[in-house]
Amino acid sequence: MNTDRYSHLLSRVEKPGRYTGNEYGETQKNLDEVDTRMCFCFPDTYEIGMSNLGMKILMGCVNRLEGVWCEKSFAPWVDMEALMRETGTKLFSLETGDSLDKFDIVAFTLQYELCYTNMVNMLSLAHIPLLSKDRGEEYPLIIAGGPCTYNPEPVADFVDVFSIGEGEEAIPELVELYRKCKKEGKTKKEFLYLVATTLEGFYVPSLYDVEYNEDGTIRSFTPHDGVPAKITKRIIKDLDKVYYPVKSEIPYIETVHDRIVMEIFRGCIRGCRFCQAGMVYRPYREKTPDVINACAKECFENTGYSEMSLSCLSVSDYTRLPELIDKLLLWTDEKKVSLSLPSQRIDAFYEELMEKVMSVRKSGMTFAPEAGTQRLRDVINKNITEEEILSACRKAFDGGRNSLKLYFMNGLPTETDEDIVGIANLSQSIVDEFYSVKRPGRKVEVGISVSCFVPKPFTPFQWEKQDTMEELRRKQMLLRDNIKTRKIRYSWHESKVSHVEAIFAKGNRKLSKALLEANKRGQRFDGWDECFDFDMWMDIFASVGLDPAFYANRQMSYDEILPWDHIDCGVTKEFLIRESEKARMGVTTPDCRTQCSACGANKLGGERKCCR
Amino acid sequence: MLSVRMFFSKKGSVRYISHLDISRAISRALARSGLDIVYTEGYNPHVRLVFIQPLSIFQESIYEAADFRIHNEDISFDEITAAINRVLPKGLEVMHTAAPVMDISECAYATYSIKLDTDMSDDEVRDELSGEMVINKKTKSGYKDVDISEFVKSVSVKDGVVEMTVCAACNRCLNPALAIGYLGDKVRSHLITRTGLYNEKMEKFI
Repeated sequence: MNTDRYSHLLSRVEKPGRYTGNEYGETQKNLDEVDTRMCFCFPDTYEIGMSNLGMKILMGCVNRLEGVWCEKSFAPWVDMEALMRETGTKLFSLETGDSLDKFDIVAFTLQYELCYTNMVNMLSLAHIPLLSKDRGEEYPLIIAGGPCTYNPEPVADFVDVFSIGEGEEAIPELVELYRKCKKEGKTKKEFLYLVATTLEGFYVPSLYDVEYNEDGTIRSFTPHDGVPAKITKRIIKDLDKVYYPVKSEIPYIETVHDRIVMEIFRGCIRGCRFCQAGMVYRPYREKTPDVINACAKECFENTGYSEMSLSCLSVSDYTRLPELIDKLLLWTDEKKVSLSLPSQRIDAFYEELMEKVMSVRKSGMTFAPEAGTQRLRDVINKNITEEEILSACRKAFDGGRNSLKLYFMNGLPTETDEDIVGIANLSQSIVDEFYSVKRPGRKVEVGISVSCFVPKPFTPFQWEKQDTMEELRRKQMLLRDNIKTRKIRYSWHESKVSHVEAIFAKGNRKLSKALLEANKRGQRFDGWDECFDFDMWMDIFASVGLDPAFYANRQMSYDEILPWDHIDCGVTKEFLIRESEKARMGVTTPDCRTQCSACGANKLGGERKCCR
Repeated sequence: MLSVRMFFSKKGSVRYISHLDISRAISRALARSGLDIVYTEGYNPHVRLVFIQPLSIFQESIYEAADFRIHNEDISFDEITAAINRVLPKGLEVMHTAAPVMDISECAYATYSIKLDTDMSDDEVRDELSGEMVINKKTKSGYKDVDISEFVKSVSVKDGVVEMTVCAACNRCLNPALAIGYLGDKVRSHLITRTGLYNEKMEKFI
């Protein structure tokens, strides 16, 4: 865009490069040849949004359509927001600098619950009425997708259409239907009805009525005439054939993940019971090594990035990993591209593989045992033993590493103080493991990062209550008091943040009221310590008559109508109940390759290794 | 190995990009240019790229210089220039490349053209910028009063545009934004463009 339009703002803000666009590889089109304009919005800062692979994929999918131009916009940081409000400047896209209210479609990706206020605030900054019911024909269609939309209810009053599941095919279908309706002069209402009744994987909240019981639980959730009662998520059946953004733009300013990201598979075979991603991204589907390798090469040639990371939920589950790594290393070494393999499972940690990968650059190593005792690891179905953890650490130490990072959670269902102390004991055993052999001149550092358990929709723990904040804090301190050495560096997540996260994760439509009130009071960037205001949130909930504990700290029963029951993410409620019961008994479930547990995601189709 | 000095411009919206980010953008452009670029040795290889004199954020330039090396010696400078321009982001453009003539340490002065939005007359601006200019400058050991006029070699003003020559050696250097800052609130806005780099004898840095 021509930044002269906004030079009076840009010269007065921190990191103006967040708002200037003009990145290498940016999509520019001739507006005379464009009949439909979409703006893809990431409700967080530029640095975070530009790191998101999904955004690049979906923008690319839409920009492939002739006559359609998808631009992008991010939540302006608080300094820019203040200037925009002071000068009456509307939120704009980075490609043309046009304000968002000029677009046909404004799309949001909801990656985590704490960005909801940013979505609402971006609408407000664009001078677009916040609630769907207040937006006439002259305003853009507001759509949303992303992992949070598996429970779309807390933001249901703001969004016209939700895209459920993978969007590569669905979003272009929606855009095409929009163009057709626009050409035929159909009203927004007519269009929305057509979306709900003729397309798959779209949820139009205004076409469903909710009634509540006196205790606040849902009595009924009723679709309007002809509208499907359940919305089944979309998946891409063949990942080898799906569009991949090999030419996406390269930001000028440093972003969080400033590197080539290669997706290698979707879904997960593991079934950890707290993990939403592990459930909602099923079924497991792989890309083949040749396709990934060719794509990666093209990405490097187009970008010049010196780092590449493989993206998936657990890299070592990829059935052809050694073959893929060998193919990649054939050229990455020579081009000085370093390879990182995130999300490793401890049990499948290949020393030889790491040796190879480390030949260019040394990257950090992180393991996620999640719980401190075997009992609790069985409850959450994290199928690893202490011996496996220690042996993986031993291999890492023998391979020359002096530091490791471990992720744990506290507040997990059935957790006792013994499990908390177990985290300290396990960390101590890892330190002892390091010193069990003489390692002259070397010192170990074990970082443990402990987050608070947040029950999430579509997990076996979706009915569970979250520990109260006081209890979470007590456990955090208990753990601190049980760490006896400075070789262990302990950090924990603020329980207040996790509490608000749980409220929105398990929330229903009534929470839209709280978000509206939060916007009035200027709340945004809740995921950022400097902006998160817990007392304000409690005050907001009280002022709109909502009880935070009803959402976060209440055990739900299996027969309660859940706010997200109208969404079908593949895995069935029966499976989730079975898993929940097994968790209570401390019984594990094998991974999908060892044995099918009939989760139900199979019905969505697609070629894959397991689920056969 | 071929030593290459690249002369480039930075115009338009890239003025909002800091030196560090420009440096990374150029490194990446070199990596994707297809040229056989020389990398640093060691655990963390990166493109060996040296800027003659970094340019501050909010400033444009029509004369920037940076050095790098390529393994392949059988390539013309015109081919190198074209290869880089093909892959540079908008706002950055290589004017030409050549073998370095002067040593980096010979760079001594930079010229700037500064467009002011102000009600001050040209004479007033010139007088303010020609005398002693004591500003409170942030240094490693806190804030200090410094007279920056000793870093200014010459100043002229015409039609609201300041032409300044200031020190631009690695150990003795002035950011012209500080001089404009000295004018205070009387300047509503300004745009600084670096127009050249010179050696001690005011010969163009090549």
